[in-house]
Amino acid sequence: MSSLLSLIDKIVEGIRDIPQWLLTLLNRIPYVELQGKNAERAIVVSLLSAALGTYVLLNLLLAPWIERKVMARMMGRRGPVYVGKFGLLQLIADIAKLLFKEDTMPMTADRFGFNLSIYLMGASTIMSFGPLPWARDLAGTNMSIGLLYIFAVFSVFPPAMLLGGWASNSKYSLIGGFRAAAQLVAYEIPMMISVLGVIVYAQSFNLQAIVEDQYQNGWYIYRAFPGLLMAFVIFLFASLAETERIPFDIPEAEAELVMGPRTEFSGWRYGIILLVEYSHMFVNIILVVVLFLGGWDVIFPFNGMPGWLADLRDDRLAQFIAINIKIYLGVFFVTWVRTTFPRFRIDQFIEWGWKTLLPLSLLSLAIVGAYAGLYVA
Amino acid sequence: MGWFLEFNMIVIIIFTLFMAFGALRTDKVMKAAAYLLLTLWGVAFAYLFLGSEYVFAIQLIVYGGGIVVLFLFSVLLTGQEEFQMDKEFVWNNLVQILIALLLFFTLTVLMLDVFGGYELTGNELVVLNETQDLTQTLATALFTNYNYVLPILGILLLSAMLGSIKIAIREEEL
Repeated sequence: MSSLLSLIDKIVEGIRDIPQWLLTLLNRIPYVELQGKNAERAIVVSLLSAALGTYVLLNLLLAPWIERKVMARMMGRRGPVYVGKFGLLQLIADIAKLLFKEDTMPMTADRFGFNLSIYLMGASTIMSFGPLPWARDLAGTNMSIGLLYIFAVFSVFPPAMLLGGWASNSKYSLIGGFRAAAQLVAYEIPMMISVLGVIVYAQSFNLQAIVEDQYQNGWYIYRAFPGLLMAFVIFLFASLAETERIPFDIPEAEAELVMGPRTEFSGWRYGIILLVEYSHMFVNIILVVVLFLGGWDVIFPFNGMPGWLADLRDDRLAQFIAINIKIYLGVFFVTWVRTTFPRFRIDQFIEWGWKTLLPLSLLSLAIVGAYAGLYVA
Repeated sequence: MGWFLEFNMIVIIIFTLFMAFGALRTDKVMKAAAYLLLTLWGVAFAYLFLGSEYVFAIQLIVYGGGIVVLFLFSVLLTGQEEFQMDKEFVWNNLVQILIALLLFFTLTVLMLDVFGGYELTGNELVVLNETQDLTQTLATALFTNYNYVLPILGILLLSAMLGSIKIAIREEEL
């Protein structure tokens, strides 16, 4: 036990020296002079951000495994078992397979659009990890416009889908691209309007400030009842529709359109598309947790809270574990929905978005507005 | 770090100009829309480096997302995916060039009027941690000091819309 502790101490000491070492390394480049506390702080912050980004990517390896296992159990199967313990390495094997495949492109495809759509989707997905809060003062970057930034980065998906579908020069891709863009546009608007209620209460776009307000005054899911509860349900369904998961996978609809706008993509391009889909789902689940379910808050505040619980709420490790548990419950819920419901029909679904969810989201905003007026006065 | 910001800014400007040129010179409308998307992204990142992250996000949501999707949809629905470039010089082109120059002149005067007093030193580095009343400041500035800017920008958008209608309209074969 003591040897283990000394090993941990050694590792921590080794990590401590890394910023200084990097600084000396950078200073060896001609014309670069980085000195003082600020330079060291900048390097520490960038290393931490990189570590958080890597953490999200590692979770993107774990979440699909959990999804496949849970889905298999719900269908009475065993799921992946052969590669690694409990089939844990199945996804890594899949990715390796995709990377080593031959890189093919349809002869009549438009090279520029074909590549551009993949690059745009991949880059915007990685960009969206930045402002996600993991504990108090622990986020890739503490942006003042964090929420707006994530929506801005995601808004590139519809044009990228349409472009990819058109550039593949295949009828399945083109129809799939149309459906994807129509669906994304129809559900982006209720999603944004339902979030406005949260912003009215938090009075900030900053994700950390939003969680901090929930930590102080209670989670948003039960505040301004039933305004924000409605917003939560709308946001949840709209985000499921945005990620094109199975009950809403109309653009793919494998019986009709093979793989929708992604039909012609293979090899590493298909790998990037898988990454984009899973991380889109993952980021949306994190957004649901952060906006409505308290984010990294361990338990909602109530009167007469025992002292140890109050201490636990302030502990950063507990906060980090709490948000991870919430995220994986979200993954479980999404999988549950996926195995339970059959696919919608395109016209019903688009109508549902424009004619039901949009008015409901406006109504929820009105309710929240009424509460917020009383709240300020 | 001033040189670093300037270098980035120059890279972004060159990228944006190249993409804008590509949008003008390509023969497929869909491709032109893709170039337009990249141009608008370039403009958004220019905003970011000038220290206005709010405008950056709005530029991405409205122009990078909404407007380009509208363009792509309308192009695909009108079915006119390719068009012929004018190879020879016609009188029409002269009028077009004159209008373009006029618009460019108006915008330049406008920009000089609005930003003429400032000198960009690179100190406007993005301070993403600052939570000020950014929205309020922006709204006040837009509707008091610079309230004549929006209508003139509207004229630019109108001309762009007329141009796109001209490109997308299907000529009746007699």
